[in-house]
Amino acid sequence: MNEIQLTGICAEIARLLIKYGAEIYRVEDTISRICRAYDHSEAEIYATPANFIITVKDKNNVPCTDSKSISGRDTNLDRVGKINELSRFICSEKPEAEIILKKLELIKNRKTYSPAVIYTSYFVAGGAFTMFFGGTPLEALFGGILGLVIHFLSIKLKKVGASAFLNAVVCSMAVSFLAVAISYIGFVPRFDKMIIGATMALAPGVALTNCMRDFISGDFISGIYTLTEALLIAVGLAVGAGSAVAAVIRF
Amino acid sequence: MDITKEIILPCLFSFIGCAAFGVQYNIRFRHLIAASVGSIVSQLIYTLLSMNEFGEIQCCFISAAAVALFSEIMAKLNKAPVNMYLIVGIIPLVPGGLAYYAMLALVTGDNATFLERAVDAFGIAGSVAMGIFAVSSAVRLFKDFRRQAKIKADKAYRTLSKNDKSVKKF
Repeated sequence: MNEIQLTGICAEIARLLIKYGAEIYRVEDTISRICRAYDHSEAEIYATPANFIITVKDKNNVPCTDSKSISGRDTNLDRVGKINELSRFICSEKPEAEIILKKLELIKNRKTYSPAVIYTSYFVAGGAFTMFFGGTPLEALFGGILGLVIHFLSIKLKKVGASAFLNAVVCSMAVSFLAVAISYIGFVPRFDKMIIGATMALAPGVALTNCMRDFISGDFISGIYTLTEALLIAVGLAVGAGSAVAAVIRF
Repeated sequence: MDITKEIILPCLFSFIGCAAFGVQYNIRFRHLIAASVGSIVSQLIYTLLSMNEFGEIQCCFISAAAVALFSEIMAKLNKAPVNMYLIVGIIPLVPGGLAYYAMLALVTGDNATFLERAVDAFGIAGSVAMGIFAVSSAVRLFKDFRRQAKIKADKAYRTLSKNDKSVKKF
């Protein structure tokens, strides 16, 4: 495998890892292991949640570099695990470039859960967390329906390219309006448990965990990046729900 | 005290809710069950500690540390990324309710309540993060030490076998 193929494959693997929600430590570790497997321990790797640069030198000391800019997250921890397995395979077997590219293609086309299952999971999560925070079964039913609304809205917003902050504001605002409307019509006496249960689906769990793990490994730029993301999403949730409730609470 | 209401039901709901979250993150079935068991671990330890009059912050710190340890062990056993278990396991500890009531106090103009609850919510979020931080850095340190020891043993073996042909691979 020559240097151009190596940098190309490394950049693609890194892009997929970052896109599917791996922490930056894992990306740098994986890529440096792959480079070492092909006798390029001098490889320079720079990874943040938004971009990736790799440079290796060939036998005439000519640098060969490749870079990727990453936008848009698509959390898929199953594929992160599969890429992890692939990197173990690369390090032990040192296969040719074509084999790796074929396996990467297989991972990219791995089945995800069908939309029906994902919608059901949003319904179940909304209901279960409404009960978890002390709601009644009827409130849990409405909490589940609000979870469906959140998933529907975030798919639509992702299609037009909205940021995570805007997504959080719009979804939590819509959910709060609906919850207040449901309790105003008179199905259930209170609306707070439904809002809490349904908006748990938007809580920045992935960002918070990744930011802690980035700080531990000393990637402060990536840590601050993801921490800012987590805080902004939390603020967005509060702004959305707060403005909706404040608008209605006067009546 | 009602054991069903205080312990079993919250554990059950956090298990179901976290399994649903795991589906949203596309975790496969085998890992999904293990990850959701992590959420039971965190919820159970949290409830047991808060019954024994530990403070809110202490409860969250200890149960986050327990989940982090659980995730590291499961990741080692299943050869999967730690994140897969950790992200799902800490969801029951997220202070969603407190943050909501803090926001509610803010929009109704009750600043004293807002400050109290916001400080609580931030404290809990921070203690969860610190619990993960403590365990994960201890594990990282342990791994680094072990790798160093392995490299040293490898070197010693090589020099030994160079000088002495009778040393066989062990």
